Amino acid sequence: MIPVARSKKLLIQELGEEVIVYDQERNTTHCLNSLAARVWYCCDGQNTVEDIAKILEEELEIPLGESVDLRGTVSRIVNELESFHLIEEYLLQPTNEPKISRRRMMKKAALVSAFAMGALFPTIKSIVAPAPAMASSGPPRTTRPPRTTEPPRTTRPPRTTEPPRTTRPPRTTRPPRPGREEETED
Amino acid sequence: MSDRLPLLVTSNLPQLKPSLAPPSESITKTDNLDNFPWEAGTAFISYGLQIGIRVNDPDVLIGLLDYLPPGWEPSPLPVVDKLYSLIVGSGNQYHLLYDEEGELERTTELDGVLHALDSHLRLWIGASVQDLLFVHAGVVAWHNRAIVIPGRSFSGKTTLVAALVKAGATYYSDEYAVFDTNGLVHPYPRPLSVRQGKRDMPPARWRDRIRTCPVTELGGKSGTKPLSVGLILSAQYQSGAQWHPSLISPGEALLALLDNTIVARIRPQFALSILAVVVSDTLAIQAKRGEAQDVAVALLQQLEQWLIANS
Repeated sequence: MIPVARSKKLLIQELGEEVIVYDQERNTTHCLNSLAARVWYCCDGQNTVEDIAKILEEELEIPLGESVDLRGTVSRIVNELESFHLIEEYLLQPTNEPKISRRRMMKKAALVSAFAMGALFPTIKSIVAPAPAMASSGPPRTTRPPRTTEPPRTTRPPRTTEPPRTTRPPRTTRPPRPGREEETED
Repeated sequence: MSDRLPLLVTSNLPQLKPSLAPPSESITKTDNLDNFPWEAGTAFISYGLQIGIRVNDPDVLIGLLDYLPPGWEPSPLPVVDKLYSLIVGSGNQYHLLYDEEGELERTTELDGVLHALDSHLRLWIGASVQDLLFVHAGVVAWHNRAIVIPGRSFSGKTTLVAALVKAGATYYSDEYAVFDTNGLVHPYPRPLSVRQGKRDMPPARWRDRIRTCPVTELGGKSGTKPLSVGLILSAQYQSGAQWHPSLISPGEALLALLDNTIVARIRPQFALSILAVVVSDTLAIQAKRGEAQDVAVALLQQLEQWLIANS
């Protein structure tokens, strides 16, 4: 099976040896460490998981006789990439031309370090990009987010045909405010 | 503050730019608001945006002064990009806040409606300014480098910022890290919003306990010039936690900032390109933190050591 990296609707920002990928379809952002980024770049429609493991073996210059399950590591990273929707498809035969041209070398030191870490920690970290109101401050009762570009406009008539309503009972049951209390985290 | 009131009150009521007026199908709504007997109004400029507020009670304009964004200037023109309409109820009547799209707040407490205006205004500015990136974060300066503490509301930013200022840092913001396209952070020096009360207080009551605190009250001062970032702290308050920070990568620091960026979804490319510059030459750490005053000094020392090591 030949994994092919997804290339559409993604924004890519390289950051040293890491790669930040913003998924415009899902509004998620992923941080690929150097190992995950290297594997992802190798998913160009030319390489099987075994091929990618061989590429990494050469780049990492693993000493002879040292037992390292690189194939397992690559397979795990490809699965991880797939779970984050960063693998578009799997091919049975390699394409004539690389499907993407993002392949690039990573610094060996970064790869080695990431490989060592990769055995223990996730190689990809991810967040859901916040909507404007989620990233805002203020009390939780804050209402809808502001209109910024051209969102659909509401056609609901306003509730201002009369002066301020008084039909709902005012909040008179609120307990009186105590004096100064301890300050807490905001 | 009240000496700025004459600057705030405009002779003509503010009105929305015609190109921003709601479409014809919802014209009734604005007609209703436009026909309301407004008594006074203001138009001001903040970060290049023109904002108007009209009120039915001129006295409330004095209270508004405390809620305007830092660095606001009176606008010479009443035509604005954003128009708020504030109806102050009398007696037990509701106070109502609208923008051109509808009702934003309805409450019997004047402080509540002013806080809602403040909150909405900040968010709208953060989302609408085109050449600056607004990240929800506390910011102080130390040795000419900024410490940025990204975090949502109620994550403890203001408390930590206040402790850092008391420890000698220069105040930049307890609300937004405002980044330019070169990755420099600009001051957003509004008074600190210190919340009082117990953590288990119902969320609906939180804003009733906000006390604005000028930085001078803490014995500190506000910064004035843009700075590059020296330290990014991704911290979560945990009662009794020991301070054991761990390094995070530039990519992880970028995620922490993006997670608090107002326009992360609206303009992700713009946000990513600026944040990549911001995190490129900084110390980035994460930690659970206990009491702010215990952490503040350690944090300043941490930045100082890193600056020496990288000088």
